[in-house]
Amino acid sequence: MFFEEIDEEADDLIDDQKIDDAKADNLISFIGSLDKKRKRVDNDDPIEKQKKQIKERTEAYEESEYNLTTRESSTGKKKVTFHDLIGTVQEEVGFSGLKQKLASLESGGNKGTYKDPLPAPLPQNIQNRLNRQVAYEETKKDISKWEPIPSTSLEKEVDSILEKSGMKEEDLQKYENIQLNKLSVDEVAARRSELRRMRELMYQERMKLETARAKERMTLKHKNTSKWAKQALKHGRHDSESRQAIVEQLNRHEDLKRKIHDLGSDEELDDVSSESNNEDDESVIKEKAFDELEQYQLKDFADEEPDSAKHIDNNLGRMIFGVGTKEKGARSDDSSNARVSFDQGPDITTLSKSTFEQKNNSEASLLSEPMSNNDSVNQQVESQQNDSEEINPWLQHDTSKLVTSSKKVNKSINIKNSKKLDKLASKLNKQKHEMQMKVDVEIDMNKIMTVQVADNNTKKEVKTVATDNSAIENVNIESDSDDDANAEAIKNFINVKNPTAFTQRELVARAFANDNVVEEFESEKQAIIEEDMPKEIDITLPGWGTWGGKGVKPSKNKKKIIAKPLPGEGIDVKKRQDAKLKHVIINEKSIKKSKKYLFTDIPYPFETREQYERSLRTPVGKEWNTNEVFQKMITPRVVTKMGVVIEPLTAPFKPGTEIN
Amino acid sequence: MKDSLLEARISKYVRPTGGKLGPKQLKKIKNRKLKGTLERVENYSQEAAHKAASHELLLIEEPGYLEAEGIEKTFNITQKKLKEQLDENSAKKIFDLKLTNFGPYSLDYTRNGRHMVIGGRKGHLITRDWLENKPGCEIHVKETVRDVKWLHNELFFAAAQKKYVFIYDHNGLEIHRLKKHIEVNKLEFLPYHFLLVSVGNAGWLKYQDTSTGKLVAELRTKLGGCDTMAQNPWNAIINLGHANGTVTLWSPNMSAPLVKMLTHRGPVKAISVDHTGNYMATSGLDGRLKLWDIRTYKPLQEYFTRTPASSLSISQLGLLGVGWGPHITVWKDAFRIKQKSPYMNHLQPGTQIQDIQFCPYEDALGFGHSDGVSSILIPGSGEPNFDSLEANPYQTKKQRQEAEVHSLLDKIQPEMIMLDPTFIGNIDRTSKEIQEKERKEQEEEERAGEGKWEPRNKARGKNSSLRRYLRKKQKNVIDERRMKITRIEQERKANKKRQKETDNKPPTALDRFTNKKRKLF
Repeated sequence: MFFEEIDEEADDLIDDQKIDDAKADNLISFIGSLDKKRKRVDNDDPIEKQKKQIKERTEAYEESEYNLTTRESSTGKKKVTFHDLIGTVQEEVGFSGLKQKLASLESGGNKGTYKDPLPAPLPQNIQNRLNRQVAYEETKKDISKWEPIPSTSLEKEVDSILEKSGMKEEDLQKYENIQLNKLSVDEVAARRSELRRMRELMYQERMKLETARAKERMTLKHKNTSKWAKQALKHGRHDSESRQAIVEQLNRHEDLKRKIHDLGSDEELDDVSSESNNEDDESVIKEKAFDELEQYQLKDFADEEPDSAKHIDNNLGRMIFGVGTKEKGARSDDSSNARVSFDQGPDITTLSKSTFEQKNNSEASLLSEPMSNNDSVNQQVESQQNDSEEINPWLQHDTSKLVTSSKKVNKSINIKNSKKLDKLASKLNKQKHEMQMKVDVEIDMNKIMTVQVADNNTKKEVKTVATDNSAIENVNIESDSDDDANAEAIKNFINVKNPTAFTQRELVARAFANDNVVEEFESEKQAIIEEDMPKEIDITLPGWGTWGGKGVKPSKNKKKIIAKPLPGEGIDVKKRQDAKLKHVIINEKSIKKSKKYLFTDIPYPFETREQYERSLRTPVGKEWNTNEVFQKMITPRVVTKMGVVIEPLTAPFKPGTEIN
Repeated sequence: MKDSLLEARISKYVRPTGGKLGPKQLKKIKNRKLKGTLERVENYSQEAAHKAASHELLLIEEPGYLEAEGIEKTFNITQKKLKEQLDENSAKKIFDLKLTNFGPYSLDYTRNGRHMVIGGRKGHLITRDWLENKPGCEIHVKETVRDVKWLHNELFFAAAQKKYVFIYDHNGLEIHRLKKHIEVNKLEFLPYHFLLVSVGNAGWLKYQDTSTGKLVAELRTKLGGCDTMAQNPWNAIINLGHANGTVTLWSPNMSAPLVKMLTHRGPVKAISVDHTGNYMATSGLDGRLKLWDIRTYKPLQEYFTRTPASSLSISQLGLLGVGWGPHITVWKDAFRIKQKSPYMNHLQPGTQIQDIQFCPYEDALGFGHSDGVSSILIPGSGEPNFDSLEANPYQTKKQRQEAEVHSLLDKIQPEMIMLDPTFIGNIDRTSKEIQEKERKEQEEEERAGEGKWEPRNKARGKNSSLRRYLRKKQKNVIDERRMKITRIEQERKANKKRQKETDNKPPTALDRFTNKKRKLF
């Protein structure tokens, strides 16, 4: 068994050897081939090789004079194609994708993503113009849909009424046609002439009205915004004529306002305010007034309607009605305008209300309330003037209207009790208003805010008006002497009349509002005052001088021993040095350490304190005196020269000698 | 004309007093001696006033202010414009020291206005003869410096640093560390009392006598940290501004403030008192600048500042300087009438003004800000006529030494600091009963103190210089003296030993003839 195995192994070995031999042959032949290749390379002439290389280099492409390739012409070859380039990358990974892309490129965008380049965009302005044209067309289409539909409630109502009564445009057309068909030629002609006449008249009337209004508007006689008015206000205050003119102008303005804004009398408003005195009574009033106006206008319209119908009955014709519709349109416009103007109302009033509340809430209200209201309204109006220019020609310049409306509202809030108060308030308001008119709209009410009015009393209002006056005068003076420098100075520093400063001030006041500095100070002062007051001390010893033991009651008649304060001990409240100074606490305690510099008694020979203190008045010292005076002051009464013998005092008489 | 002028001048020099003492009053006095005395005194005072008035002739310099013509305004004149018009010497007073690294700076002038010390918050101290532009010293203390102050002359200055107050000499050498003054914010120096006053975060007001080194008073303000202080140069009262809007007036003799005024709704930012002691200006965080008459404690004027004023200074001639934000505004006659526009304006762009000071005897205003220190010219701010006995800007070294000695001799005691400094020598106006009571109390106190006396166990001879030397802890240093002392000590010990031995011997009959023996009897 064992040998067999060995034999097998030997066979295997032999087989292996055969294979190895074959491999070795292959290797030999391969090496040989390598050798041949090398030989071939070696056989090349080195010089020839160099030449070839140079030639290759120069043959890369022929240089033109602009260093551009001219290969095509020189070699007869075509441009480098994609295929030429792609041949080299065939074994790369993403080749198939690239190939696809290439195909799409070649096919000219029909198959794949590639497309021809877009044309250059149009210039911006042309593009915009085109856009606008298209947009215009689109919106025109859209809007034309809505044209026949009435928008406001009033219009709707009118529309429905018209429809009911069969007076719609189409119906009338039909009716006219029928009528015309019935009439003879003469009649038709007569009617036409009459219509024409009527139209003419109408037109004239309208023109007249309009010119009147235009004149009014142009002269602006009711306003103080014109150049004349400004000049008059500025310079003509002392001139009686111009003053007269201003007054006239104001009256006119008032009249106009009343015309435009005839909301009804004050009484109605009062009723309203008495009815509802809650927060939103302003809005309620507004609503009511608005409703009323609408109703009034509707009524007006309804009143007119039968007339027009009559006209129609009398064959006055389409044109009249046409005018009527025009009028109606105008009126509805008016009403819408009115609405707009009122719509602005609530904003203002709410604003004023908010400020009002704020002012009411803040303890340290520096303002009288109506003033703040008007102020805010004025500001609002100023801002509104810019916003609402297109809305209402009356509103455009008429700030006073809003002022008055808000004024009324104020009144309704503030005063609800008596008519007298009402009248007074309205008078005051009017005065105030006049003041405002007189000066300028630009007056900043902040400038008079230092006036403290705690209560909203009518009396106080009078006061504020008075102070208003002075403040306004001040402002005028300031504006007169106003130059850049002054303005800068004011801007630079610390001025009470700077509105920004005010806001800053308010902010600061709020920032420190919670530190009860003043209260603490006052309580501290109170404590010190009480401590310093002369006090009586009960120094009775309890139980001393009475019987002790069970059941003994202390007698009521027992005298208490009370130590009275020494004269000059303690300080009475009224005698304090700081009695009249609220913000000062002066320490009244005597300083013990400095007692040593005081005399307890008046020194000899002085009789009174004044005499003594007077003698101390002029200090002796060269720091305080001229040298001359100083020398004089310190010179002794008797001066003896050096070396002089001073004799002892001799008695004027000797007792012994006299006897002798 | 001249007489009336002189009359007006005399009235300025007549010292106020109570009562009248005309011939009518004198007639009533029967005591002839008293009458004579009073007459003499009265004559002296009249003559003194007259002479003083007539000596005004010697005051040849007059203050000059900026004057505007036509529509010009003085506050539109900038320092640049002003500089163009000035002579070279005056133009030098307008300068900017750009020190951006260690700011903001606080500064102080000496009393004669000659020297300037500036201290940067981050520890930079410089002294300088700013008029001659001679450098003094420059040191970096490498810790916070909150305030600097000259002492009685330019040789010493104090700096309130991070924790303590230090005193440096003119070379910048630290000579004292005042350990009792902790976390000080503001310093003041009362030149006639030689008192350095400090107040800091702890709210303690401390008075240190710089001539004796004694801490004179430590007063608790009880109003929290304080960083606003000004002295009233007239009566040496210290005015402090507090966070609750009050200003308190302090004397070192009273543990409570002499006067407490509620000046602002917010914390007080700055105080300044004019040199006559009549007016005070305060500014608060409530955005107000208030001017007060501190004789009556009544407000005079009130202004609003958009930015709270950070520093105030009143010049010798009564100009009020206000530093707010990067601005400085100077107001003229602000205490008399309410001003509509300032006298001068200055803007130091991009900085925050930290400290402004009018320079005495110069028309200059120095101010420290976040970017260094600057000086501007404010015509009419400084007193043009100086009193060389008081403060001499042109002092020589010898004069300075003389002045120092004189001022030390004339030093006023801190007990003399009162609201009315003329109280000295007056009659005590408290009632006799109270005086008696006080006297009794004082006596009792003294007696109580006597009773408590206990004899101390005195160790006599313990503190001889030799013993003290021997007690010294440092024993490793051996020098000549030490060796000598040790030798002596050894000898002494040996003697003692010998004596002990002889003492132990029984007495003999012959001992009676020696000194020692005699002692035994």
